[in-house]
Amino acid sequence: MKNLTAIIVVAIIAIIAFMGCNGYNGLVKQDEAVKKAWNNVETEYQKRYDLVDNLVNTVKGAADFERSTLESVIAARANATKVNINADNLTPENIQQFQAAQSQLSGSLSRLIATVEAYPTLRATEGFMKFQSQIEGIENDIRNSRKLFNDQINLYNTKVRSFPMNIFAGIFGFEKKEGFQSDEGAEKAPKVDFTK
Amino acid sequence: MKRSSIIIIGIVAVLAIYVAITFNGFVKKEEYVTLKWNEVQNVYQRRLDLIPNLESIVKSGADYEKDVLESVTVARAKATGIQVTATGEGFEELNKAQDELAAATNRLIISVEKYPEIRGTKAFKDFQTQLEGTERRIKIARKDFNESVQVYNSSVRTLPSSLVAKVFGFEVKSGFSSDTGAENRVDINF
Repeated sequence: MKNLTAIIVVAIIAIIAFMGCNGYNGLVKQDEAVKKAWNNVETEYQKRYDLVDNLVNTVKGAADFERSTLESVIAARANATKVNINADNLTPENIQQFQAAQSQLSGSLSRLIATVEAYPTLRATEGFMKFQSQIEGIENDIRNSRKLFNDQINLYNTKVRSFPMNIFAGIFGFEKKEGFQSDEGAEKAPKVDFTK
Repeated sequence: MKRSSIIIIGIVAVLAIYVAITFNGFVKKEEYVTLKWNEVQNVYQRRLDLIPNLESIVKSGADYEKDVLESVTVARAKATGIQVTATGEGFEELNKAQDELAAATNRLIISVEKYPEIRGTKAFKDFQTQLEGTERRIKIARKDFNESVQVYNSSVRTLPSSLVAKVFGFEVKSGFSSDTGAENRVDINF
């Protein structure tokens, strides 16, 4: 009889100890999962930090390249069709030369008409548009990683606060953690204003 | 005597198990509400980070296009205009020469009037879609939050779990409520 009670007591203690170990290990695991998830959030932040500046410079570089190319093409065309006359020393000879130049010009103007008709198609605007979707992709990745972080926080907090784990958690110093918090004022929609 | 004590112990044990399970259920539901609220904050942050940047990209794309097309037009006007600095008698003779050129230029003017294709408007259109997508994500997150609050509140307020809720201090939470005035129709005014 005495032996039996002793066995029961030992068994209960063993079970509690086992639960304690198990609970402790579970919390450690979950704590690490939370850390991993947060590190992944930081990875995405770093990606944004590294990428956005370079993308801005690339788009800007392409735009500047296109602008300067177009401008120099136009300047070259202008020079090609320009006729310089100084009317102060008009002699019959000069006039004839000028006339010749003019008729040549008429010809080249007609040709020019065909070529200048279309405005240039600006390709760099596509760069801006691509950038637009890239930056949305970056923010989507960040958002997804924060979501995974919140999921891990949820699992962790549920574990820490549930009975009987809440008792072990208190003993081993596991505390409730906070999920992702947005910046102050983020709940207000930013105003889009193109007139600025 | 012994039998009744076993029954009492049994009832207490069952009650204790019930309380523990209910308590854990509350914890789970409350944490779920927190999770969903954090997700709302998550998409808020996405909007805060994304929209101003998108705006400035669209704006600089449009400015770029405007600048380049303007300078193209100006440069063309210069290219087809002929600048003469004429004084005195030479001027009349020059005039004659100009007539021929004028005819040619007129033809040119008519044909270059063809309007440039503005591509930046597509960026604005894309931005419109992106804005809508952003607000839709936020709406979905808020909806999920409201659903989690509903599940939590239902179990806080229904018997017998409401008794356990009282003991452990689980209280009714409020779901998402809009800004004051948000229920009014928005007038569209260009």
